[in-house]
Amino acid sequence: MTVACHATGGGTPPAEVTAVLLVGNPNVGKSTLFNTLTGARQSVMNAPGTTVELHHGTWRATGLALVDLPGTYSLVPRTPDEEVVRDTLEGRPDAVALVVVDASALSRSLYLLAQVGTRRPVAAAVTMLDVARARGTAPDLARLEEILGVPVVAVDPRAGSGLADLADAVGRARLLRGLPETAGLPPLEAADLLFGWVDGVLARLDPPAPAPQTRSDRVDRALLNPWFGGPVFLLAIWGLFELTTAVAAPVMDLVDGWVSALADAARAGMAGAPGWLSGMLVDGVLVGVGTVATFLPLLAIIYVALALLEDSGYLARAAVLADRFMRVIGLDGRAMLPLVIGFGCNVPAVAATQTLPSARQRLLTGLLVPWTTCAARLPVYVLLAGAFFPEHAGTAIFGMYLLSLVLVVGGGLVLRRTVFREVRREPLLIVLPAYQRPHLRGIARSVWARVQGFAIKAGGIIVVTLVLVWLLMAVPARGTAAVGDDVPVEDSLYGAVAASIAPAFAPAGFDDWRFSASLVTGFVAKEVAVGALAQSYAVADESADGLGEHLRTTLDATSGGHGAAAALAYMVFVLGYAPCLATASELWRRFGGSWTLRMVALQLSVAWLAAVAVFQVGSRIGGLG
Amino acid sequence: MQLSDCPLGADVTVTAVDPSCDACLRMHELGLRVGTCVRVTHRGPAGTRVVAVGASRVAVDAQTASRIEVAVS
Repeated sequence: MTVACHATGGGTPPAEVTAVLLVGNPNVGKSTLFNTLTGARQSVMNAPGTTVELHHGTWRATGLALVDLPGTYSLVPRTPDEEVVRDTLEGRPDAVALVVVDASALSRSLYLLAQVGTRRPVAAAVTMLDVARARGTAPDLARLEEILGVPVVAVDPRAGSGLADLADAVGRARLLRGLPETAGLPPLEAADLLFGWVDGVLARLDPPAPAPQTRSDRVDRALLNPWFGGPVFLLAIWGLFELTTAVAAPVMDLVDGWVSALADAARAGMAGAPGWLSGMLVDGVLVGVGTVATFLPLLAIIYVALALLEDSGYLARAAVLADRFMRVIGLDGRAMLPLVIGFGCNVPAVAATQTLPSARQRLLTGLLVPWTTCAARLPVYVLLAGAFFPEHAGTAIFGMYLLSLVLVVGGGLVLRRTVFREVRREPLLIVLPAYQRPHLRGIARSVWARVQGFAIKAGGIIVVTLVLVWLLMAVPARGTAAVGDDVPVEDSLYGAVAASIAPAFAPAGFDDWRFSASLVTGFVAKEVAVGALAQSYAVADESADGLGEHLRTTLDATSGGHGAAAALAYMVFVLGYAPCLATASELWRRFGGSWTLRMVALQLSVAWLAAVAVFQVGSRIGGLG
Repeated sequence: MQLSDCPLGADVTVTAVDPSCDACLRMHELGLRVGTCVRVTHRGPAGTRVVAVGASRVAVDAQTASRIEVAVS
């Protein structure tokens, strides 16, 4: 491709330009610019062979392909995300680079512009002019264009200003001239030479000196203060936790009610159809789609909350405040947010790993999330603890939360020393963006794209799996019932699978098909494990008094009289054994099937070993009868 | 004097950065390089320092800050 070296006018780039790569430092408004330019015409996919997300879209005004690369400070990468930026730039010599330059941090942005502009035509989109003006450092952009010799356009992606000039700027993109030769030099020497060039540009530009103190500085005096900022940070993560539980639950219940009503209507409407057909369409496909639909408002709420934290600039402060705690397992301070959200629901917690700056950190955090004991596991603990430890139910449940923390920290330490050995213990070195008012329209666009991504990709996996589960329950393994009839659970293929799994739990004291069946159902959704137990016993009362008596009888029999130890082992297994289907689908969507399957295998192994250890110790030493 | 010992609000110039530091290049790229004038604007938890580099603010943990030598401008 050749790029025209003349102005095209009319805001239209020449036909030779087919693709534009958006490059820039983190937090410079690059993604907001991408969302504004592409609108809804965008998709999210992983860079080849990585778990790094690339946003592809079509620039509405020009029809050009636009790729939003991860934020980076340099083309000398320190993280997989930065490697993707370098590799994409090297692999797309046909594309023009539109470098987003932060007017409030010109030196840093010009350094990146120099690295990119050495090898390909570039144009500069200057953002954050409002911040620079507030700090008294706004540069003269006409003078900057004259010095650089490449197009320089002021844009405000939030307000949508300057966008018309961008297309023309891309058409006039060209190589940066007068850069020092850095090929073959060690990175530090090359950086020195490039910063020498940057200093020369800034000397000619002569921007005003920055004000000694900014509005953000005054806010940070409170929010970074350990005595005041710490409680504010705890309040923020408590708010996120509440969003995943108290706020989202009624909305999810509402959607669930609609889906149930729709399913009832569909069943009634298909009264004359064969049982297998209505069963598959209603109990398989429709219930599957309904499960996906119930998660959409929850995900939307969390995405909006995270985008508000990120857009406002607070997320970077959260990383500073939580750094010393997360450093224990070698993670960025921002990893605390997904892990806390995980105690509400694992699905948005996996989604929240997007706020972490490096792909390996996102993966490591994502793999730890299923060990955070989500609210859906609580009904199982309440039932078992109430039935077997009525005097100490609270302590038993608290123990589960404590064990969850041990699994997260222990799992993190072990993974860091084995599979994630190469994840460096990064020093805290983070740019704090100025506080800004979040851009709601941009947030809405990005949230819509992400929720759509979940519905299409993770949703597909959920629906297919639920149809398979329905099939297992509808196909009789014994007895006289036909496919699609009301097959008793113990006579179905599902019951047969559960019965064949049950002996594996003999060392943990709960070798019973009803318990293993509840674990299979619990994989679909943890909270329905209790319902599955009640269904297996044909008991309507799911309380510790009603169902509890049956559970005590069964576990006393399977454990040789150590029912309480077996119950504790079952609770431990439920805590750790596998992410639920929706979480597994989200893990699959973000990190791929290989990592998800390895994680499920690891969790099953750890949970089984822990359950066996609890039962063996509890029944022999602990005296748990 | 190390950046970690630098009093709040004092204008200082970076005189040396420990070259053995793993993040030396990134410090360089974020503006913490020899000859740059900086100012510590905040002290955060666990000895974290927020440093004004030009108009931008960079948070640095205590250990990293101790690898940067500064002199009062």
